[in-house]
Amino acid sequence: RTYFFSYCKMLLHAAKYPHCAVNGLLVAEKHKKKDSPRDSVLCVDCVPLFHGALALAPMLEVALTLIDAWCKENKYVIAGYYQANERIKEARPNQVAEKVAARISENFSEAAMIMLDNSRFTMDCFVPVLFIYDHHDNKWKCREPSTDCFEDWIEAQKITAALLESKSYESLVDFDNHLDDLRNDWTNPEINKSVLHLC
Amino acid sequence: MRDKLRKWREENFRNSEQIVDVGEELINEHASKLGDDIWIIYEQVMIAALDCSRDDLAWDANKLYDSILQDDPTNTAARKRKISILRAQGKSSEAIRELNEYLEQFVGDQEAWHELSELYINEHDYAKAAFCLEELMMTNPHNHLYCEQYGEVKYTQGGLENLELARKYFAQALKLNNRNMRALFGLYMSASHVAASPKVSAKVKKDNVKYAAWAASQISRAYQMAGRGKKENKCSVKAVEEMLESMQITMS
Repeated sequence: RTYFFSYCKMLLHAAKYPHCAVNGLLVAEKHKKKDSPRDSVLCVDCVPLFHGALALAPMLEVALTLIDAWCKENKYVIAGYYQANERIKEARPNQVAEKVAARISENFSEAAMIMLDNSRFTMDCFVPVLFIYDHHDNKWKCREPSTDCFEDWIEAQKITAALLESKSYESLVDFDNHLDDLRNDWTNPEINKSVLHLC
Repeated sequence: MRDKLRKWREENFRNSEQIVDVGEELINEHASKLGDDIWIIYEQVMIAALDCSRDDLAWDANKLYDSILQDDPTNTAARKRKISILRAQGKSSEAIRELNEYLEQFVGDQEAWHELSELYINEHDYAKAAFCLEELMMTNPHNHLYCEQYGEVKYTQGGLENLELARKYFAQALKLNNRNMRALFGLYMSASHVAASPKVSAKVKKDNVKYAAWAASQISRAYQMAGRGKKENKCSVKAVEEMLESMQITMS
């Protein structure tokens, strides 16, 4: 399930680079209750990775290793991968998406792959614009769309719409921005603060 | 309406939906009054239309560019715009083919070589992407970005030879610009992988361990300097140290 932090930042990332493909990682809290049902993985945050050319390996490896180390420190685990393709009509996962998501599911069996539906992406965020894929029998299968995957859909929608309206995406930092200048913080503390402020 | 479009053009806004709405009306109802402006407005609307996937407008634009080229076959801007339309419509192989043809004639067009390398990368044709970057490096030997990108492509291709080549180009990029973090990370990753490979001689392994260690210390230093004074970045510094440590284990 997705907490609104993750949802907001995914959309802000896509909004910041409307003419590029973008991707990123979702992180969940590591500690899970024993008797909880299968899909009680809560994605508490997300780390935007790249924009533009997603199909190159070295920086992706760096990002995965670095973010993994950061996760361990904060008792998180990399739990998913999101991607928004370059073209509006194209929402299917491609080779890059499947490769990265597969790698994540090696470490976390309930990993999800999320594709953003660019065609339904509007400022008001009336509908969730995600396609969520789960790994079954070595294939990625798309879930039935619903708002069940959100911890609190109304909050998520309200907050995301507000952030898009105020163009907060201009200050969103992804891993590419971080590589351009190390002082850019990919944990996005300022955006996190804005989100909390809007709750 | 004309002024709105001009403002958006000047400020480089990519508010595509609005541009299409305003632009479409302007073109359909008031084309005769636009005069010379009409071309630049057509172009602005077309780019916006592509963003919004308005294929019908894109088709019209294509026809316009065709007519421009009939009158003036050397109009490179029109040719490149046509190729952009193909790319935006997802017709990658056609875009690639057209771009290759274009480059046979206009072999010095760097923007085009770079665009072609991107198209190849998206199609996972790394060998051809490398070729494009080689052209760019030949004509721009001091450009650290091309060296670094070439390193990334070689690394992605994989295999011991490509990793060693990648390492050399990352090193070259660093020589040209010692603050290129991607090149630094790239050097670290490629040297580490070469050192960890069972196929290398003891000497090659030793050398690469040294390169990796050097890169690691530079990376740490860069993070320390960036994190100075910022409490939050301490997290990143620690994560980097851990990452460097974890890779050390695989090397030995």
